[in-house]
Amino acid sequence: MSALSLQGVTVEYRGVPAVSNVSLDVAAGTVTAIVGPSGSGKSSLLLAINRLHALDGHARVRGRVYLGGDDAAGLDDYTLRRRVGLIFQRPTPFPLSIAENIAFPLRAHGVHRAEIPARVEAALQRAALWVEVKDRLSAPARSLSGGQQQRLCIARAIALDPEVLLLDEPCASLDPLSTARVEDALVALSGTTTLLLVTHNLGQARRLASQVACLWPGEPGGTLLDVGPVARVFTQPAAPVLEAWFAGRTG
Amino acid sequence: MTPAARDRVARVVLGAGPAAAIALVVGIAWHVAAGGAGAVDWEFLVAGPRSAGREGGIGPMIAATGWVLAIGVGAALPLGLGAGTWLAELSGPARLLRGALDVLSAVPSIVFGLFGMAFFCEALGMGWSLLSGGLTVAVMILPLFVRLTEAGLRGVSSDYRAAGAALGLPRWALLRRVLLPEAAPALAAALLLATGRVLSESAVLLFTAGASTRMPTGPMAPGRVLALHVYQMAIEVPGGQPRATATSLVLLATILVTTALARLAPAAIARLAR
Repeated sequence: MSALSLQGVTVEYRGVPAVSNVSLDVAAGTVTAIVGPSGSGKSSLLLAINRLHALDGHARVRGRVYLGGDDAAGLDDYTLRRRVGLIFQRPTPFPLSIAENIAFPLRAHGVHRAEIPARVEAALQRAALWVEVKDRLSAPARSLSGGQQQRLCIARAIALDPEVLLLDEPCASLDPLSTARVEDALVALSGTTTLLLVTHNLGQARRLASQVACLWPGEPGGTLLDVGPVARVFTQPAAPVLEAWFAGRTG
Repeated sequence: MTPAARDRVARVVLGAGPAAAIALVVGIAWHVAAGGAGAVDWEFLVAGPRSAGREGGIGPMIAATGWVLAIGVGAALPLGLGAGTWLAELSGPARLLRGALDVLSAVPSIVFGLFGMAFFCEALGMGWSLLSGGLTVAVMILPLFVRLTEAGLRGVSSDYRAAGAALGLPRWALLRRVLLPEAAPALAAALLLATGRVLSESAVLLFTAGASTRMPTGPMAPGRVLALHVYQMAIEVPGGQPRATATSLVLLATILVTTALARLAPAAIARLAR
């Protein structure tokens, strides 16, 4: 059974579709990349999965999202977002200490206080940040570099043990070295956590993903042109525009 | 004119504003300190007035001011925080409520005095008392405090709200742990503005707390606040002018201390909230 399944998902803003009729299955413990040019609706699709589009009062989602077989529509916001984490393009650490950034959401979700220090350490280990911060856990999170802040956000999300982690261009605001560290952390996470990664960086999709989904801007809204194993999609894409894009002739 | 000369002219023109503001504050402080410092001693601060205030001290007025400030700010703070938070985090546009608050904050304070006299003193039977006066100034500062609280919370980066939502955090937890501590400097500034308005109010409190110069025995007693005492000494009591200046000096010093506290408070509030 798929860890995550989208069936005919359409996201509209004020009645105008940003992305139309997308169906996609993501196997448990794998990395799927969603690629596409700006305006193809990648981020809109991602935000709709854990219902963050609701923060914008004018967005509307149609279609179905299944999470490990459960209809997401039957889950309340708190449960859904604990099961589906999300990492933003810009790192968003809270103005708290490094440890407290992870401990505070755990406490808010009712994790017992005695368990928290071990969960904080485990999350930092899995996000490949532990070695760099273990001696300054009480330092402000904002004293970390951009790449470290992004890995802290990943640690904060996976501390809640989500089944699926959504990543919205997680390296777009980072330099190449920081990007490499974040990618290393994501490789280490795959296998235990299902990752759905939005990126406009084709190289990153090739390096990290086993499955790739290609969105293309259209009227009305972005549509899914191709989806399949990375090796096949990048060599024999289903649409000529994708072939031109992958070859560097457009975009 | 050369570009460098233009910059020099701009510097002088733009510098004139701040210079005038500083000169005004220094001038007022100098006038009040020069005229009042000689009369202010320990006796003046604790004793009651004699000879309608021409002699003796302002102890009862300081006590009355303290009561009104404590009751007024004490009542407005939780209401204002609650309403401002609701407007910033939970409400929709709420145009009617926002419009009402803006109109209320522009209403002349004397109108609040009339309302307080009719409602607290008479309808609720509290009479001329520090409680009536404190509650009336609470109503008076509430609209401003609500809108400043709302503005302070809206000034906090929306990234934190998005991150909190993505983690499935209860909004209350995010508010208490992240948003309110981040807004603390703005909330302290709002509180200072409200405190300043209470300290400078005289007519409203004449209507609701009275002008008694006896030491207040509790919140149900009447009392005369410092600003009202300045007015009474300057206008109503022949020969009271020197005492009006000395009282002004105490009032000015109080406002200086409040300002200093408001500058220090945010860090302390943020630490307490963490």
